[in-house]
Amino acid sequence: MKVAVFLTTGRAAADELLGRVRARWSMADVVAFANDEDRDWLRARHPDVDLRRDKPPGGKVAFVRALRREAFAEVVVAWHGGERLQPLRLVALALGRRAVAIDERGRERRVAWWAPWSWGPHLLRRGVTADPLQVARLGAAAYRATIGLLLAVAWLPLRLWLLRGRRHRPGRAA
Amino acid sequence: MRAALQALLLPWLALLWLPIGFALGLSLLLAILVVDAVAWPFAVRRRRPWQPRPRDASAASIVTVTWNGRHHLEGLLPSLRREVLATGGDHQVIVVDNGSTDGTVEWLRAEHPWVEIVALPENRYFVRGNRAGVERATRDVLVFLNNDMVVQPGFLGPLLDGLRDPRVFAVAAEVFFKDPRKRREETGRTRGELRAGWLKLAHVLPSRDERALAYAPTLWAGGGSAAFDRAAYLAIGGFDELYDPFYMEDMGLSYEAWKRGFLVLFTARSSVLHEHRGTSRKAFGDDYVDAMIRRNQHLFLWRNLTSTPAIARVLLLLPIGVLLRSRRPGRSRLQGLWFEVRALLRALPRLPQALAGRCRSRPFHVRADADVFAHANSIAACRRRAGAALGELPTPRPGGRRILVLSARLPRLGHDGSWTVFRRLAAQAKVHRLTLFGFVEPGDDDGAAAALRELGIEVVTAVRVRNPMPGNLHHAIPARLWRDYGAPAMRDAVVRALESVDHELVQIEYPEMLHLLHGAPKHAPWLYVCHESLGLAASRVAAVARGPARLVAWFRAVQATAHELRLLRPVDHVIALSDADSRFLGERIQGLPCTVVPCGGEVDIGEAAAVVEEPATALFVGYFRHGPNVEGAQWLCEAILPLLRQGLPQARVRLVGRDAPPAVQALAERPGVEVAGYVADLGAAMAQATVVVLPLRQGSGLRGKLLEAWAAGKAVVATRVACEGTAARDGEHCLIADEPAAFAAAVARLFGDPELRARLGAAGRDLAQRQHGTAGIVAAYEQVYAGLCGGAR
Repeated sequence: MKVAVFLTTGRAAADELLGRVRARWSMADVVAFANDEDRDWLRARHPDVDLRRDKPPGGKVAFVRALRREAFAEVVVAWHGGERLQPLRLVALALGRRAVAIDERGRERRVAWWAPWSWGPHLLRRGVTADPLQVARLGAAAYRATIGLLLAVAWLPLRLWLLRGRRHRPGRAA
Repeated sequence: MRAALQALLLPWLALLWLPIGFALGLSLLLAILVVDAVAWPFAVRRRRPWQPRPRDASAASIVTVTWNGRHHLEGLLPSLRREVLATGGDHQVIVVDNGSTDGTVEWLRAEHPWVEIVALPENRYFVRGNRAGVERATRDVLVFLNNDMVVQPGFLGPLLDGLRDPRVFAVAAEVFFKDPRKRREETGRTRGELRAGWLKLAHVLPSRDERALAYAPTLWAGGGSAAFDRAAYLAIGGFDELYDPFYMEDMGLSYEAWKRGFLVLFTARSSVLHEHRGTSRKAFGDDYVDAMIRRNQHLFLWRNLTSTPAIARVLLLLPIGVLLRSRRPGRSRLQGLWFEVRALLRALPRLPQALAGRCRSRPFHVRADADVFAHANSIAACRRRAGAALGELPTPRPGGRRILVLSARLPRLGHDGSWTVFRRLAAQAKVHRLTLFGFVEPGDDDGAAAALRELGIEVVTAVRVRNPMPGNLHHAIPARLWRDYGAPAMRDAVVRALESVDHELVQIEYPEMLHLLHGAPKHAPWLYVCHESLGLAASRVAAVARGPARLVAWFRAVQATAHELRLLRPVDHVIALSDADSRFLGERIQGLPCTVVPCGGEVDIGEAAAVVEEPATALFVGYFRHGPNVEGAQWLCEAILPLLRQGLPQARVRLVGRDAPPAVQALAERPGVEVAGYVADLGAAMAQATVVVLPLRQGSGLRGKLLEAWAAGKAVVATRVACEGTAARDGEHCLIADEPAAFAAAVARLFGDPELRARLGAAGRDLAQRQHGTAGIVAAYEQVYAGLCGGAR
């Protein structure tokens, strides 16, 4: 069994959290992702945890893909206790496994698509700062993949039939 | 915190603005339509087109307006004095002083007694200041000069020469900035268009042709460096006080002249150095100047746009336009929105003045708005009206034509199949004046363009970018075309090429370029060289697809065919590379003028004398960004090679070509497959191989790799699709097989028969030389040119 832990928190809290994770999944292989400053310090305190860099080269998508291939049974995200933004909740969701957020005091909350708590703060922040063009692109892509596709399946053959066999009359030069 | 508050507030303000803006736009539209309807009977009854009159263009009244600009005049007047004396003629130089307090008038009287001074008691700004100067002018030609200009030697002559033609209203000089490091925001060559309900105006860098011609059209002649016909200027009403204090008055004047049937021209033979907004921005501040420009743009549209659909689009899209334009560099969206709304509110009190001007000038109009933009933007369109007034461009040989070649990518030697285009253009450039516009990939070197320039071809390039816009909602356009050849910046670059090149024929290479031209203005016949029919290629993908992918492939085939038929509508003639393409298009469009001309030319595959042929090695060469090559390689390795190796275990396949995707690279794991990637010496790779194979089931057109194999004297096994466009016969020039078993058998047969290989190689080479030589191809193109452009020259 493999457990992934995202340590987006302070050094002491991360130490506390790793201890709790280790205690709860004592037989599991724990893989933790920590920032460059804390990693060596945490490694010295938790030699049985595979501590990795939380900013791997190759971009976000490649990072998530690589993690999905590792097939973690549980994904744990450090939770600060509040409702504020924590993008790694989305990463945990994208891994497609059971995901929980645990704070330094051991409080636990389920991370799931059906729980607005998991993605709501992220959506709100993105919504406020989003580039209108990007939003429009996203909306267009969603429309194209659904209603647009249905309409196209119906009208493209009709359009081809209407165009086909028409006499060629090139427009005159202006 | 403030940014977050603004971000939260903005959507609500935008929502509030939309109904208000829409109501405002609709009210303005109704007001304009009512005034137009009332004025229309009078306009028809009093229709008075301009009658060109001869004018004395040997002398000019040169008017300069200044306000506390003595330091600017210290640069301008000596240069102007030199120019006036060098040109000769009875010129009049008038300086209008707008109530300066820096002692300009006294200085002028003391230092430049040759200048006539109009000393105004107060600052009447640019528009009314110039009007005061014109009242003093007595010559037939008016030259307006900003006080922060320095005229260059030879400034005056070309302006006056241009005005000798009575159809010409104004001639603008080229503008350079005094500081050469500044980006050339002002050049004198201007263009504009109505796009998405708004006026897009720009100064553009003059192209090679715009520089080489004596005169090129321009949308407006700048009010600070141009010459005008005085009689026409006065008849139109001069710089309109609607735009007081400044900006857009020159645009309004020139636009009115275009609409009355005049020509407004630009000449690169005359030039000035400009400080650029040396007075206005310093005196009034950037915000005020920008606000005046925006206000006057609204007024211009209300005053001048007489096409009902155009003004309706402008005013109905007003609320959305204001929101879109509210993004201003260095300002928040909220500030930008307020700027736009305030500019609009500032324009409203002048609406009656704009409507009155609209009614006054209506009886004199002979050109529609769309015509004005077409003629002012494009040399080719303007030439139809202006003829010799623009001057003539030389061609390499007498009788040559001016051809604009638009290519989706720059043709180059030794790369993909575009070497055939390179060879053809090289031969055509000896006779015709060719301008080639093509796209390059980001980071490409200039090698391909340099090679073409060496042939005497003018090359203009633009970088291909991904389309950032949302759209294609109903899948009308194949996704690849929309994504890779749909960016507005790319389309703008193509349109600018069409406008700025003096051409009598447009030759369009590759379907991607035809797609980019969809809806572009057409001012000369269009010849489309169909390297591959979109619909045929997509149909062939569908024909070999299996399972659910087949449904998707058929959808794409319908989509590609419908789009291709739509794209072909404005095309005057099609040159297809193969009978299959010609047949496919001809069956779908009645009366489509289509000629089949193969591609070809001298093949450059290098020397391979020292290379020894390897036994039982089949070579496949392909550019792997092209989908049919990827499918062909997969079919070869997955379906044909196993059958081949059943009888010949030592048989090998070598795949050569750039940009192999992971699907092709993965084939290297199969026994007997080598993925060699790009090889610099294709001749050596060919010589090493026992046979060359072309297992293509998709795509259309003519395959350059077949000609390359024949040129190398290699025996070829190919599918019927791969042989299209050539006269290849099975067993005579190559072996043709369409099924895996037959293909494997043909390759095995050649592996074991050196004599047959030699015979086929020799016959193929002979066929390539006879039917795919450059001379024959170019001659066929000449016939098509003659048909399109009106007979042989």
